[in-house]
Amino acid sequence: MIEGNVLNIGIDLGTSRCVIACDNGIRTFIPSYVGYPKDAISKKLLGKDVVFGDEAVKNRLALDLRRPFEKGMLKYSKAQDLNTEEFQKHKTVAQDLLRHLITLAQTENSEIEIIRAVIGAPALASTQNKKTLIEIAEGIVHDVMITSEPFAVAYGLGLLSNALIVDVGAGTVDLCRMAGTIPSDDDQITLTKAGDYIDQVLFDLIKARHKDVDLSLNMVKRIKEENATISEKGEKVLVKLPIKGKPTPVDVTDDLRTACRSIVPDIVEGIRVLVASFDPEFQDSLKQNVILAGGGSQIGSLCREIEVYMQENLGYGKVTRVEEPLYAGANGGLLLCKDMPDEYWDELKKENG
Amino acid sequence: MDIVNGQAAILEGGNMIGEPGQPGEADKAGCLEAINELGQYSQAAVVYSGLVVGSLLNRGGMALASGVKHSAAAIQDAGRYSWASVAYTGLVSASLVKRGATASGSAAAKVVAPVAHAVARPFSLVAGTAGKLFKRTVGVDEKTKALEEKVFKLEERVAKLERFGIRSFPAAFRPVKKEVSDNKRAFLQAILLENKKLRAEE
Repeated sequence: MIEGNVLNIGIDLGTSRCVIACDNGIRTFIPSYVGYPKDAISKKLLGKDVVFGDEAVKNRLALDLRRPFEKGMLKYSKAQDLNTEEFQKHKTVAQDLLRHLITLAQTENSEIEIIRAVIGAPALASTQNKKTLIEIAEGIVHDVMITSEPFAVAYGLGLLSNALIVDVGAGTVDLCRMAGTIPSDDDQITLTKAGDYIDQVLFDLIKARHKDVDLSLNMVKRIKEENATISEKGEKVLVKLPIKGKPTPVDVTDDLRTACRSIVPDIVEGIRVLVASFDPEFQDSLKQNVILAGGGSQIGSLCREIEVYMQENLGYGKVTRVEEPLYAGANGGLLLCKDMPDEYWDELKKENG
Repeated sequence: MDIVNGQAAILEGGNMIGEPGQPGEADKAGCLEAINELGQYSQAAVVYSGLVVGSLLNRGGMALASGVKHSAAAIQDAGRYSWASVAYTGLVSASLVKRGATASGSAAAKVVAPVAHAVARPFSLVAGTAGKLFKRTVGVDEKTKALEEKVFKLEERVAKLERFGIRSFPAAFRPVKKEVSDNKRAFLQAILLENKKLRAEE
């Protein structure tokens, strides 16, 4: 039995944002960017060896900017890439990012002796992917467990049966069917058309319509996050974009709507697969309980759009968005971490040797 | 002297030569001779005067030069004398003071000592209290270490405040472990098994 102050943390290491929720009241997120000064001058200018999140994005021209996660997992973490230099490099970047998150989690008057964390992984992350996450966390936190991200969301909401969780992230959309047991591979689907895919589609559409516009994916991401909606009733979205150096108002309403809609068919198809393969007696209750979570679920009218698609393809559907889409995964991880009995943590430690 | 005589001679000559009535040729020649002599006398007087002035100037210059030389020597001598007198005066004064002090020392001490003690007493008390704080640095004991630790913790706290800023926290900071339901416990056990399996796999 472990005595002393324990800090429990739920961590969502996302492709776009890393979110933490702690039982000391701290909840925060940072964009998943890590920047290393390019030379001595930029190091002197920034006054740091590593910069994170918004600060890294802001000073990206002076930095070697890295985004360690891709499609919800560490880049180059496939079995065939494990011995490559790139994998080791990204692993170090991810460790720096996690270390920074843990620093943010600690308060000024806390005397923490043990830090425990539950990290969410994409629904169908491979064993190797999960092991990599454990390796990243070792040495930074004392105890760590990995769990499926949509399962963490369901656990946090107390929806452990007859619910279908759709976690829309930047790298992946994770669907998980809750049937009163730990979800197996058959209960989960991971889609790769997610937030980043929307950015790319929007980028291509704007470029196709306005050939002279100077645009970056970063700018497109910002436009999406500030205005993303699928609704037909919304206001026009006029953004000022540089055309031959001159800021020019560009109407992106239709492009944005089209881009946001691009992920819906795949999500509905995923829902259909999970519903269709479920016990026929409980299919209706599953369709009535589709839960949207994750940063991507903040797209305006996404719930309504999925309902319309479900109506067309499945005859019926009721979609609800969680109250805090961004924190849903981290909140669930925190609850798991807190609920996990001490003897379980000890058992895991013994197993580790 | 010669000049005066010369002038007298001219007057004398004028009165002697001049007869009442018309002057003769001899008188005229005598006058001319007298004038000529007077001119020679005058010329001689001027030369003589010049020589005398020159001599005087020469002597004055020599005297002056000699005087300056002597003056410098005199000043030097005066300086030596002054220094000697000052030194002597000093020695005498010191001697007097010493003798005076020896004579009056015991009496003055009797008068001054109580006053000095009275004046110094508050300072002594302050010094005693303050000294306790500093005296301990000589021998580092446990209390000093405790103080150092406190200061270190305070510094750490300040550093954290600078780093995180001031935040408010819920009253129940320390998490309370709640009993989980059997249903949830089953889920948690399944997660544990999954993680154990994950670590066991090569």
